[in-house]
Amino acid sequence: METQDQNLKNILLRLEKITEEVVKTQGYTTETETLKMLLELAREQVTNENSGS
Amino acid sequence: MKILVLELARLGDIFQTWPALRGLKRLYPEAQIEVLTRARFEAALEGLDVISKKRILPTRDIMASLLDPEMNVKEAHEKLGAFVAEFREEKYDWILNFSFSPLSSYLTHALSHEKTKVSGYSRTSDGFLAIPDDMSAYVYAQVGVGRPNRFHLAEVFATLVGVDLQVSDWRAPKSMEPHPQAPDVLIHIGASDNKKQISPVKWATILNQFLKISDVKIGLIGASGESALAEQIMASVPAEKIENFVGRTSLQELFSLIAGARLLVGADSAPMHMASLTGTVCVNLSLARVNFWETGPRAPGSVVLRGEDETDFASDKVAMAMKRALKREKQDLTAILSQEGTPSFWHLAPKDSDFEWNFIKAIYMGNDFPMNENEIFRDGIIRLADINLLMVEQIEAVQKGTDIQKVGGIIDRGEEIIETIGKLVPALAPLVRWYQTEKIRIGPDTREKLLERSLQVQNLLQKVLNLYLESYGLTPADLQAQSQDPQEVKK
Repeated sequence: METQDQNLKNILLRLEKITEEVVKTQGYTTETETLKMLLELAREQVTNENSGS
Repeated sequence: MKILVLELARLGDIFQTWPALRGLKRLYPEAQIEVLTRARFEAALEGLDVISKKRILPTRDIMASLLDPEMNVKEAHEKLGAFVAEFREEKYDWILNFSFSPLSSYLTHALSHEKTKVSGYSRTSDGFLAIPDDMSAYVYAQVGVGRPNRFHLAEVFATLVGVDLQVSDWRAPKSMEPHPQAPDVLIHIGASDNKKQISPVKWATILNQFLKISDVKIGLIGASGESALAEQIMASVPAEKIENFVGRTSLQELFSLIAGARLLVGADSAPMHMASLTGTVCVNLSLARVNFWETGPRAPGSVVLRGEDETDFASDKVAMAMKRALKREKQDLTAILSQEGTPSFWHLAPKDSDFEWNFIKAIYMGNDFPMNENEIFRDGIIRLADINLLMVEQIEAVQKGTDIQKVGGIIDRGEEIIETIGKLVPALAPLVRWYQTEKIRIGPDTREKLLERSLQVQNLLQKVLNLYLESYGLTPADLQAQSQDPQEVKK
């Protein structure tokens, strides 16, 4: 469980970085909105253990 | 009309939306109502006959790409993008976002078309939070643990839909029959999170106390993950008097048991919300992390016992409350009682604790503003008015041609001071949160429109502040004079 939590935290960090870079270079587009959704989806897995599926 | 409802929260939250969804169908009998949920919680929609179609957010599939050792972000992005693009083609007339989460706000925006009506959180064209309706603004500002809201969430959802709930909206799933051999009393041993949970030792003590004064049949209920807790309880109570259903029921069987029982006892949880639909009386052991006004049991005759932690629940008192609830006898004055109307509970609270709720009713419902002679509150009002008048001056100056670069810093600093006042003077927090939410709602627009809307919000805030200033014998002119001549402050 701890390994999975750490994995999720790593995923979050990477997604945050990618999203920040894409927003900076492309502005707010459909693509960046999907990235934002992906980021929030991953964030919910970290903050809410019961939303795993 | 095609309506999409976003229900991305947990079981208990979904059950609390049932009455509003029934009201929605009553308002629009011909509407096709679809619900987007997560696979794990879709069972909470079974038996809700007003839904045309359930749709599932493919979280597991998308997360599988991210959890891959390669951390395949591109693949996850494509999967989610394809899901949204295909879903968007449904062209819903109305999207109702019941989830109030960042993810649901992005989804709502991504699925909306130009003519789609949106209720609940969404996003602006540049990705900022969009709060399109007054009820969502209220939720953003005032709803949640530690906030003074006293509207039950079921009412919040109904208001978002635009319907008045009827008694018939609170009913069990279609085709569900009450379990004929259900115990009289069900104990839900778990809770939606660990911090709301009662320990097995405490449950055993309560049950042993209750068995001294009552001989009704008792059953334990809970999820399969709570089986070990159930066994700990069973080891400390007369096992022949208690039946253990924990981990042995589907959600539908649980509904049937709850409908057949005369009383459900438990912390904040999905079964408590199921009992509100079956009309089963509850004794709710509510811990400090829960706002019982928002999520307490709604079946008539239900009772909330409040505690900072479980040591506040004296077992003999809980046992007595259970006995009284079973017999529909009068509870003692410390109990919080479920009642019809709004708020949904009667609570003998200290008079001062009503101030923030009365403040909210004044801000949002046009009631009279409650007076407050507290010195800290008075000082907070004066400081808020002071900074607000300064911000009004700056915005008006920009409207008249002053370069925004020259005054932008003052306005930003003003926002920081307002936020600080809200934190330092908790009684003012509802007003500060209302103000901040209205500023968020301004959204992207032309410079002129933005200035105009900002000024409207500052002026509305000033109107409220003026009412209080007047009650203190002050006027905005006095404050302006004080700021020009510091000696005046002492007057």
